[in-house]
Order: sequence, then C-alpha cells, then structure tokens
Amino acid sequence: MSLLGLDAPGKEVLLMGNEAMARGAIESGVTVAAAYPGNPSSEIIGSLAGVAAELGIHVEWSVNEKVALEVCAAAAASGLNALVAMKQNGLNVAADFLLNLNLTGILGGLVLVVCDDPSGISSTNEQDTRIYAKLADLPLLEPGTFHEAKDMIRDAFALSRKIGTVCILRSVTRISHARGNVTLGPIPRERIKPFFDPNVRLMALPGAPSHVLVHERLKRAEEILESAPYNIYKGPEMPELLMITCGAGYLFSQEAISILGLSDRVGLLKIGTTWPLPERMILNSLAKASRVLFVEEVDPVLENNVKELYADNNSCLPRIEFLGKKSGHVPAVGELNPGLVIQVVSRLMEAPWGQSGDEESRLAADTLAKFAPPRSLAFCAGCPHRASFWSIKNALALDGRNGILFGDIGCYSLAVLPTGFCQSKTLHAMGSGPGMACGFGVLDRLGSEQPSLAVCGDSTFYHAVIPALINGVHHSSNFLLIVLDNNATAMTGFQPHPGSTLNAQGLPAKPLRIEDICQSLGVRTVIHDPFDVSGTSLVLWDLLQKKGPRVLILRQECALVRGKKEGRRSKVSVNPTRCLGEECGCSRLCTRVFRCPGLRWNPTTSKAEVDEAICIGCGVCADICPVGAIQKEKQSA
Amino acid sequence: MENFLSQNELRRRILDKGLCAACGGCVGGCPYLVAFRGRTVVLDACAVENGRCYASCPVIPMDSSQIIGLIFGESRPLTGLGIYHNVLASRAADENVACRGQGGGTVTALMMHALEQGLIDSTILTGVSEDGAFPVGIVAQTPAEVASCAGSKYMGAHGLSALRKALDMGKQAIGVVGLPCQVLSVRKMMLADIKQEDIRRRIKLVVGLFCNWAFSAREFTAFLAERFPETAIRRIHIPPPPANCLEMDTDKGVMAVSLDEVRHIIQASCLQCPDMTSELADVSVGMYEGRPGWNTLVIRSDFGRELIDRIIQSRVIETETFPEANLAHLEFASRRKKERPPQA
Repeated sequence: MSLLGLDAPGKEVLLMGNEAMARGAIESGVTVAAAYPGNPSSEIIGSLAGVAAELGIHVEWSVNEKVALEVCAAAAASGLNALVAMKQNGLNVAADFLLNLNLTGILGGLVLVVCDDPSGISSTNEQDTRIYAKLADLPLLEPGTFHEAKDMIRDAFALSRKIGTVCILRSVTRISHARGNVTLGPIPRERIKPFFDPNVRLMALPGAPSHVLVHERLKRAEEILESAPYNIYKGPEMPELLMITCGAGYLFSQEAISILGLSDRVGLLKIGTTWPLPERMILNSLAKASRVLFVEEVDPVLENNVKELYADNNSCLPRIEFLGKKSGHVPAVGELNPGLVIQVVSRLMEAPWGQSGDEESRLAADTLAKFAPPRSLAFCAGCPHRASFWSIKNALALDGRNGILFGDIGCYSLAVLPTGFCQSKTLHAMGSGPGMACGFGVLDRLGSEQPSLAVCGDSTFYHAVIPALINGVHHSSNFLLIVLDNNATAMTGFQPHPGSTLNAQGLPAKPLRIEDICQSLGVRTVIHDPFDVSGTSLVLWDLLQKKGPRVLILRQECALVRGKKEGRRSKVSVNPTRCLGEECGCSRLCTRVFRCPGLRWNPTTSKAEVDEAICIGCGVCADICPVGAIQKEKQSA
Repeated sequence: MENFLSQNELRRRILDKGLCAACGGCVGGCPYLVAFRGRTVVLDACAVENGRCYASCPVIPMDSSQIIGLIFGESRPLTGLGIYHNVLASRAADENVACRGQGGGTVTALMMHALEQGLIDSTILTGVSEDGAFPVGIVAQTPAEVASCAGSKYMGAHGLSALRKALDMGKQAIGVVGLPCQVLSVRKMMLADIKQEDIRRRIKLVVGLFCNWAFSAREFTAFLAERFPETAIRRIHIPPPPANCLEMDTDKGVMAVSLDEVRHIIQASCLQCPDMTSELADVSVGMYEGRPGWNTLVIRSDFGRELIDRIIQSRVIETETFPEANLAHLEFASRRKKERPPQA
C-alpha cells in the first residue's frame, strides 16, 4: 500500500505538495482524474495513477489540457467528483472551455488545480492563474502549507458541489514541489454510479442571463468562504507593518518575521481564499494598519484586489501606505524566496540582518562555486535531440536559403540555446511552431525564398500539432515538420501519450502511430534515426528541396529512458594521439560546438576526454569527430 | 596580423560576398567548411586563428613574388602569359586518349604517363560523382582512373578537396590538375604548409588548365537538368567567339545553348580573376583555337620542361610549333583578362 492510499486517519506523513493535493482528492472520493503533464503540476495525476486501480479511480493523461478539463466536466456532469490538473500555460489551452463552463455551471464536484511556475523555471512564461479566476468569475483557493493543500482540495470539492461550478486551486512551485507534514484523513469507500440526468441541459446560451447566474454563484462562494479556516491573522493587535500574503509567500513571510524577531511588531494576514476575497476579515485588518506590504508571487493580484476593496471602503478606513510590486518594494517578476522577503522586511522595519558581504556569506558563495560549476541549460548526455539539431543545423547550412526553424514546447525548446546550436528561431506555445511554419510556408506565394521548418515532440504532436498539419495540407503550405520522437513526454517525467502502448495506470492502450496519422492526411512522411547524423542531414536536405507539407520523424528513444533500461550502449573513448584539439582541422569541435556533457576538454593535455560518469555511450560524437579520434566499442550486455 | 587569418576573415572577405571560386582548397579535412553541391558551406564558426582555409584561398590577393621564387627560382621575364620557357601545339599520341580529351588529350596523356612512370604516385583531378550528377575531386592512382576524368567541366567543383585526401593517405608524389584558381591555391598551400606536412616536396607536379570563367556548379547542373531533362550530357564545349554558345554532346545528339542564357550563373570570382592560363603551374594546357583535336601547351617551370621533353621522347604526346600569330592572340586574350576591371 502506497503512502497516498494509506488508510490511517490522523497519521502524520511527509508529502510533496502535489501528493498532498492528490491525497486530498482521494479523501474527497474523487473517481475521475485527468491532466496533461506540465511542471510543476505533473505529480498530482502521476501519483494518483499509482493508486488508481486499488481505489477504483479512472486516471488518465489526456491528449491536452482542454480535453482533460472536458473529460472531468463530463464526469462531474454525471454526478462524480473529478479532479483536473495542469500548469499555467495549460490553462490557456483549457480556457476556451473553462470560460463557457463557468456560464453553464456543473453538477457534481469539479476541481481544477493549476500550478503556476514563478520565474518560469520550467515554463516559457510566469503567468498568474489568479487573473483567470477573476476573468471567469470562479472561486480560487491558494494553499500556504502542505497540509492545507490537501484540505483545500477537500473543501474545494465541497464548494464546487454547493455552488454548482468549477472551483480552482492555485499552487506554485514551492508548494507543489516542496514537502511538508500532512495529517491524513479518512478515505471514503462508497462509489456513486455515474448518471447524466437527461433533463439537465448544460448550455451557455443565452449569454447575458447566464452571466448573471455566474455572479450569483460567486456571491454564494463568498458567503461560504468568509468563514474558511484558510484566512489567518497572526501578530499584534496594532501592527507597525501588516503583511498580506498567500501561497508560498506565507512560508517565506513567517520565516522573515521569525528570523528578524519581529513577531510583536509585524502582523501577517494570510489569505487562502484569494477569489472572492474574505472582505470582512481584510477590512478588519486594514482598519488597524498604517503600512501594508504584499508578499505574493507573479502578479500583484492580491495587492490590486485589496486596494480595490480599500477604495470601496476608504471612508471608514485609516490612511494606509501600500507597499509591494507596484511601489517597487517587492520585485515585480520572478519567484520569491525567504532571503528576499527577509531583505524587504528588514529594510522596511530597520531590523538589521546579516549582510551579503560578511565572512559566512562569502564562505558559502565560495563553497558553492567550487562544487557547482557554472553550466548553461543543456540537453542530457546522449540526448537524441542534440543529434537531431546537429543535423538540422548542417542541413540548413547546406541548403543555404536561410531556412527558418520554428520551435516548440518540450525538452527541445532548448534549441533556442547553444545546446541546440541556436537553431529554433521562435518559442511560444504547444503546437505554435508547426502553426507558424505552416503560415511561413505559404509566403513563397508572396516572394519568400526561405524554407519553412518546425520541430515538435511526439507528445506535442498529439497535443496541438495535428490541426496545424491539417491546415498545411488543406492550403498546400510548403513546410517541413520534424517530429522529434523520443517515445516519451520526457520533459515532465516520461508520462505516456496517445502514441504509448500503456496508459497512465500502466494498462494496455491503443497506440496511435505518428506516421499513420501523417500518412492518413496524405503527407509525405519519412522516418530516420537521428543518431545517423550525416544521413539525417542529407535526408533533411532532400526533404527541403520538396514542395508541400512534409514530415520527418526522427525517432530515437529518450536517453534517460533508454539508459534506465539498458545501461550504457557503447564504451566511448578518445584516442589522445589522434585528437587534434585546438589545431586547424578540429578547433575543439566536440567540446566547443557539439558540447555533449559526456565530453570534456582537458586544458592541461589540450585533448578532449570522455566523462565516463556521464557518457551514456550513444556514440554520436565518434561520428562527428573529424579525424576519428573518438572510438566506440559496443558494450556487451 | 596573423591573428586575423581565420575562417571568420575568409567569410567576411570572400564567402559572404559570394566571391568563392569553389576551388576546394579550404574544404578538405575541415569540419567547419564543407563543399556541398558546388557551394562552400560554413557549418559552424571555427576558432583557429591561422587556418589552412584562409592561407590557401586563391581569391584573397597576395604578392606572387614568393610563389614565383618557389616555382621558377630566379626571376625570368614576365609576359602577358606569365613566365614560360616556350609554347607548343600538342596532342596525345594515342588516338583513344586524344579523342576523349577536351582538345587533344594532352593533360590526360601527360598524367597517365607520369603515373605509369612513377613520377607521381597519385594525381588530383576533377571527375564526376558516382551518380554522374556532379563534378567532384578525385585522387587518381591508376591511368584508367585518369582517363575517366578526361574532359572540361566548366564548373567550380571543389576538386582540390581531394588533395587533402591524398595528403592524409600519405601520398608522397602528388600531381595536381587544376584551374588557375586551384593552381594558385596549391601554391599557397605549398608556401604556408600550416601543419608542416612537407607539402612542398610532396606536390610534384602542377598542371594548370586555361580558364576564362566557370559556372556555379549548383546552378549550372540545375539549369541543365531543367533545360535538358532525361538527357545524358557527355561533353560540353565552348566554341571560340563569335559563336557565343555552349555546345553539348548528348545521347540525343549535339545541342546548343546561348551563352546569354547562362552568363548570370558564372561565378563572380571568375569575373575578377586575372589569370587565364594558370601562370603558376609547371605546365599549362588549353584549347588551340581554330585547330580542333589539338591543345596549346605552355611550358613554364624547369621541372615542367624536363617532363615535357621526356614525354615527347617517349612519344606520349606529339608537338608542333605554335604559330607566332596564335601566340600573339593568346597573349592578347590573357592580358585582356588581367586588364578587365573587377566587377562589383
């Protein structure tokens, strides 16, 4: 029995925030859960999948976030409790449905968890989900602790059922991916039979009257949430500084107050029901405040909403100085951390704190520098993407017409950086690369001579690329779609996708082959092994000379997946007598340009070396070395 | 200054300006510069500060006195045809060889004989790719391989890339047949010998061809494929003015194309090149205008003179005196190429 399915009410366990949310869903009797993987949200559905069979839950990795929300909406419309999870970018994909679902409302319980990625650590943006709650007039809760993350899911389901609409829960990286103590509750075992009442019609028309109902539901949510236990005030009766915070900011703020010893001077108002706000409680706190500091991640949502509330009630409130992102006291972008919040509070309260120039800080920085050498973002050793982009780079150079490669979302997003030889010229959303390539591919009619190319991964192909391909076929667009098929949703943790033979629960599933889909559209489709670098360049060059939509599937399993299964494939070594190093005819091609982390430059000997701890033995570097100084010997199993 | 003699400088001065002659001198043994279907392609930036690529590029101007000293020893009078001992009319004695060559098969006969006699152990020639689609550099090691390369290509074809192959194969007595740009590139390599490979000793014989200009191979092959689909072109010939056309021997008979149709795909570097007769070769060979089946043979270096004397004695080639009027005309044409102002 896994920890997540442990039936031991009252027991305190250590859970990751995402696991705590999954456990919350289990304690709410969730029976359908769906998601498209995306960090930092992936472990919610991932961990539910592990207990799905034993608890009788349908768990799936859906083809994209919109479908995941639709799958869960159907379950909720049938009276079930359904949980859908995604990252902030995914919410954009699901938004079209969400902004109509809010109008119809839903039966059953439907909780949408969105995990935001402040600083965009594993995202292209750091968008704030809370603005969507306001846009959609849907209630949104924000956990500030790990235990709360679990309990909030439970209460979000209850709220969803009570008011008849979707309830959103917003997490951030440091809640989703950090661990803390969680006290387990009971697991309900009774299951209701799904039934969609044929007398019910979920439709948004007519729009304006539906909108009225949306406002009514939100009003009702406000009444229910007013007494929620997630809005807490800690601190003196009349604080010199009132900090208003939510999410991970709560953890950082508590730390700052404690470390600076300010608990008798600074008050902390932690908001868990971010939308709609607990107005009475906030007004009570504002009535005793003179300076307010907002500590929240990404956008000043709490800050703006509280200021709006203040404006509405200013006649009975004191004069208050509001500090936060707008005033410049808190950085307007990026993730917060305890050190940063301590600095802000220390400066405001004139409470001294160890400066960064002191002996200990210097020692810490020196030690860190010694053990963590500076590295840029890079593909893993032996990653097939490196080989693919090497060939793309060469093919585009050989072609010489300034072909443009439109990038997409996945590990291969890194191809905008030197690890992918800066080949991708755009990077936006899932499927946007092929969509733009399709558009660029019709500009030859207007005089463009540049070839149009796009890359996408296998999972992305199913997620959002197929419509672009269909559009390209229909409009005879001249573009080459390169599918980097590594047989995994690698970036988010190797989740299965519609091309996989097993589903989220590890049960057999019908795989849809990318080549079959492309061929069914009448698209010229070629499959090649990217580890054959020179062959791939020529195949690419040849395809670039053709017209119409074309697909090249570069198929080679993710190095991490393969490494786990098979270990090292070949023993790779550098023959130092042949290695030319910095000389004419090499100029450190392998360590300066190809840059696989499995190779390193030895400045003492002026030769390249294989880092055996990292090399996985793909042997691509042996083919790239201009003088055959890198050898590979097949490793016997 | 040496710090700047890099790929980057080659790019700035030559490649980016479209001035590459496609001689092939820079592309052998380099992972950054490669020849692909008639173009010199930069795959990545190289960090070497004094590379073979820059040192061997014939389009980058240099003072030729060092090269002249290297090949001709003491300075001899410079004429409109460069330095030479004498000019002869020549053709291969073997009719089979003569009829395969462009003019009189002199070069083919000369290189076959040099290989047979062991004067050279290999020779760099421009042949045709395996699929017959493209001219490529070849390291010929047998007379039969030499014979298969006979005939002018009229394209910049990176033939010199094969010289790197021959050096890496360890060849010690290499012959080179090349266009004027290729002859200059070889001479620059011999002077610089950046990797100290004893190139001066190992390159035994340089035979230069006459050349007015060459087409861009990528565009010319595409032009031919489009203009003459499914036609095997055996030989291309440019008759002397005022013909103003290209003549092609094909499996469907002789076909012609007006030069006006293809002039725009002449390599830009060719229009700036001052050397029509490969003035830095040991011997130079070209057409004998107005006398089909014969070549013009310019004997330049002492080594070239010895060699030609030997093969005349061996009856490998036949020679006749080259008429004064023709020599005057050749010198006029050669001077005119030098005096033509560089094109923008």
